[in-house]
Parts: sequence; structure tokens; C-alpha cells
Amino acid sequence: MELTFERLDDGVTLAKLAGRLDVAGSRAIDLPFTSHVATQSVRVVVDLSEVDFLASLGIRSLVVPARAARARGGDVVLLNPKPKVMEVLKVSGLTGVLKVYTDLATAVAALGGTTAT
Amino acid sequence: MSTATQAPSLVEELVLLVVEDDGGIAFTAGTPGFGMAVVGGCLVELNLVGAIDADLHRIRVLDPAPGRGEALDLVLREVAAGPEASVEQWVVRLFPQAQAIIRAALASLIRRGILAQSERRFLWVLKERSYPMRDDRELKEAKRRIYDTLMSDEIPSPHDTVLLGLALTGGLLEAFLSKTEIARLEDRIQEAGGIDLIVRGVEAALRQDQLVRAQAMLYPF
Repeated sequence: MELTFERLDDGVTLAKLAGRLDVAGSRAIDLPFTSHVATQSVRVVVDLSEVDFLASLGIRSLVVPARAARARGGDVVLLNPKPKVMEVLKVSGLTGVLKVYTDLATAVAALGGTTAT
Repeated sequence: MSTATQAPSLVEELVLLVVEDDGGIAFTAGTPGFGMAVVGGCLVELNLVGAIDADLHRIRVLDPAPGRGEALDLVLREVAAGPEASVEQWVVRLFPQAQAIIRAALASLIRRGILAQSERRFLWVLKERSYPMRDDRELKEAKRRIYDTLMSDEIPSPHDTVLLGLALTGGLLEAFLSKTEIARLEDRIQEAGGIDLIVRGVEAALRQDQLVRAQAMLYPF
């Protein structure tokens, strides 16, 4: 599981995830992701387009930073999940608390930013 | 005073919620919903420690080693030895172990000084085992977490959403919320209860069980 951060305009961060978000994947990203939200940007677009598989613990890996972001006045939104991943997001109920977008500009705008990329 | 040095497990919290003020075990503890909730609690805990992983279609055992406590070892042993199946299917398959899981949780709570155990007379003749609360802090904390989750509009923590979801499936909310309150909070309950694949599997298993029972009543022959 890979996690990279890209700073966009207006203080919004694009967090790109790639690989399988299973137990091993969750353990790989939990600390850096939550640390980033706790210490740097609290407005984060999570790009899920390269996530091939989402398991139970992966849901938690998205919930925890989102909670941290909202507690600091920010938010986390999700971008472009593959159909299989989207199905997991829906079944788990995560789409009831986190917004999902299909294009970056709309996702960034939802966080109060603008994209120059 | 409690001798507990660590927070109760998810299953222990669920079991505490069925211990009544007089130490009796609520009728709810014998229902399919509660049985499936405690099975689900074990699966969530095994997932959290990395012993299993769960997706929409199956549970995968990652580490079958025992040593995680009587209830978790029991569940893990069965899943490791069984066929590949979804969370929903495993909850149904493990449901017969629910009473053993509840007994293990009660024993653990007694060992840790949270509950006591005594025999009492029921209808002056029949003996009944009861579990008077020695230290009700853990019970109050579990209730507070559920209540706070319902009253808040924030994203619940992974622990709290699972506790709320399994308490709902187990029919436990009625023990400390009125029907009016539950109806008023319906949207929040649906939003915040069980943002978790395993809890969703437990809910699906219970729905299926209720459907089968309803069909059996409608078409007994």
C-alpha cells in the first residue's frame, strides 16, 4: 500500500492511495495518514482511484483521519473509487458520513479550495 | 473496587449491557439478535488484532494462533477450520457458539472484579445464577459512549460505531432509551451505527434469520 501527499492550492492536500487496503495496507498507512491530518493539512481529498481492494480495517483507516480532520475544523472527502471499492464504501455505511466525488475540482471545491492543477 | 486494569473487550461491553440492576441477565441475551451481535463482536476483535481480514465476500484467516482469550480462540478455531464464507454466513455458522461466548465474557468480567456471581432463589424454589455489579463504571462508560454517539453529529470513532451497531442489532438500545427517543434518533442511528463491514454482515445475517423465522411461521408445513 502506498500513500503520497500532494499539496494543492488553498491548503487542500491530495492524498493518493495505491494498492490493497487490507490489514497490511491499513497498518502501512494509518500512522502517516493520521499524523499528516493532525500536524499539517486538515482538508484532504483522498484519491482512491488506484485502490484495488478495500477490506474491513480499511474503512477504519479512512474514518480515523476524517474524524481527526473534522475535530480540527477540516474535512476529508473521497475521490474516484473503483466500482468494487465504491460498493464496499456503500455497504459499510461510510458514504453516509464521507462525501464521494468523481472529479478533483469538485472535491477540492467541496473543501473550500480551488484547483490550479 | 474493580481489579480491571484494561478496558473491557467489545463482547464484554455487550454482555455488561444485558446485566440488569438486580444482577439478573436480561431476556434479550437469549435472542438471536444478541447472539449474533456477540459473534460479530468476536469477529471485529479478531479483525482488530490482525488475526482475520474481512471483505464483502469472505473472511480470511491471517494468523490462526490461539492465545487471545477463550471466546476469540473458540471463534478463530472454527473459522480457521471451516470453508471460505462471507461474514454473514460465518455469523450464522458461529451462532450456536453464542452462549459459550457470553459465558466466557461473564467469567472474564468476574475475574476482573467488574461482576460478582451468586445464586439466588427464583419463585422461592428455583435456583438462578445472578451477576451483581461490583463496579458499574464500565457499564456506565459503555452506555455513555452509545448515548454520546447518538447525540453528536460527528463521525463516530471506529469503536463507538461498532458498539452502537452491535447494540442495535442485539436489541440493547431499548434497555436505556425509550421508544420515542429511538424513533426520534432513527436517522442518526442509521448513520452512525455500524460503519463497519463486519457489523453490516451481522445485520444481514439477522435479517436473513428473521426472514426464515417469519416464513416458518407463515408456512409451517
